[in-house]
Amino acid sequence: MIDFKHVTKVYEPKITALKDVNVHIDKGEFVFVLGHSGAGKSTFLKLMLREEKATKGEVIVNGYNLSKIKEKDIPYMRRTLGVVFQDFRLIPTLTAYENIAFAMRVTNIDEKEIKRRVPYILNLVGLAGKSDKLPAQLSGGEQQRVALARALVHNPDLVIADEPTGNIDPRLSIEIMELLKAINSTGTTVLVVTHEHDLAKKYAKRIIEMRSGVIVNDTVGKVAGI
Amino acid sequence: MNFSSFKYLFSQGWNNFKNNRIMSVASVAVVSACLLLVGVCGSVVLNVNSYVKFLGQQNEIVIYLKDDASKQDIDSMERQIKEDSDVSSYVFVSKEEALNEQIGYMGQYGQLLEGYKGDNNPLPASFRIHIKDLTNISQISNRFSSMTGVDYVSTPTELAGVLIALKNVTYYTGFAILLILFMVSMIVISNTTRLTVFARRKEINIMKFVGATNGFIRMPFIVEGLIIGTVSAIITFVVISAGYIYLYNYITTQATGFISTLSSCVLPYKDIALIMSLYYILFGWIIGGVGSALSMRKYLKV
Repeated sequence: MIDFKHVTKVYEPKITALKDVNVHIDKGEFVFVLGHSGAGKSTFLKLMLREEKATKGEVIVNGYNLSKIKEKDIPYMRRTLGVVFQDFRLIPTLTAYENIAFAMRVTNIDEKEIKRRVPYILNLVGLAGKSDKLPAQLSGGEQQRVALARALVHNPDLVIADEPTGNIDPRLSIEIMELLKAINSTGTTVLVVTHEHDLAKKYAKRIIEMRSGVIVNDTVGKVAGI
Repeated sequence: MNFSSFKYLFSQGWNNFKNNRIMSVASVAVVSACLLLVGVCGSVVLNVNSYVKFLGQQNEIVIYLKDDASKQDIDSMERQIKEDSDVSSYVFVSKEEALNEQIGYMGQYGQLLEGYKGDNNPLPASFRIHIKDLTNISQISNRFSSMTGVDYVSTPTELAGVLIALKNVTYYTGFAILLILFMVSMIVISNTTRLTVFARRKEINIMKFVGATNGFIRMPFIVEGLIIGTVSAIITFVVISAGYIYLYNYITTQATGFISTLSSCVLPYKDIALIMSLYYILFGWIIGGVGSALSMRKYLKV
């Protein structure tokens, strides 16, 4: 599912963001990637999305070797994963329904299929009644759920959530985490990137803890607390 | 690509064009201005070409035959001329015909030449040849000189040289002007698209992360460029048509002096309308489409 083999990432001139990172994540796992800012989480995420290329080593995601992938295959690789960003990244001029449909349209999916799937996904994240609302008319938690729904439209094998609770209040954070757990229970791998130690500890899941570009801890339910 | 994707991409392109009204109008104005100049240049080049061709057809290569050239030699020459792919038409003028022609030219004094008829005729028989392309005139002339029975070949090389130079100057000047205009238009379109792309960079970023291909992301912007190109081509077509028809009518009916001498070789608009409108639309599309595509590159590197 996800394999980092001796991955090093250096940003020019001489900033080493990741140093010889080795990680293996299996299908169906629920994993937290934990670390303070500057720990290398964002680079870890960027390498998985092939937004950046590893300086050394191999990154393999959903069967795609991202060190060797051709430029034209990157979009197809990205369709096998769903990403939820901290800032939601919804298009402000489109309704909840249209934001999700947008992700399907831009990947050449037929309008009939869009009409069938979007209401189903909206229902899944508990937003069935709010499909015609613009992002500005939705609360932070609801916007995050729209973003999650958008991440799920392609029925991905892997869902990556970047600080999914960063911009919403604690009560809504629980809702989002429960949703991610539910998604995980259907066999989808879930990877939550966060700086919140408490959040990671609470769920007794695998925690990969990073500091200054190296993995300092990789256990279930425990935080090294550095 | 399925039909709904096509519809989606086209409507996105149209929306871009509509929503960036001021920039779209500015782009259409600049591209139309460039296409208008393309139209003017194109019309001049086509007409000069036609004029050169017309003048070229007035010039002939004359192959004068030796008096002792046998019937066989003449037949063999005629066969070679007939089969030559550079020859557009030819005519054989016998010694008698040549003399009669001279007598005809001299009018009432023609009878002075009567004494030259029969065996005294000093004029040689000849082949008068029109060729298709003046550029090869020297080569063709040399080819004919080497035929058996030929005395000498008269070739209007000097005039041909002038005509070819005239044709080349118009052609290359026209081409250089077109190239410059082309680049200017492309830069303008590219800037328009850059503004649209910048305004929609967030959307493009999202498209990248949900797995849209670069081609799909680019398409609405290319459609926008193509719409600008098409609208500009239509405007150009209307303006140039009106201007050309007006000028054509003026030259052929009202002009006096030198300009009126051009009336026989100015091309009627219907002869160039199709080729010119194809040029406008082709240029408009290339400028619009390529200009848009070029400005997208930076934002696609995610």
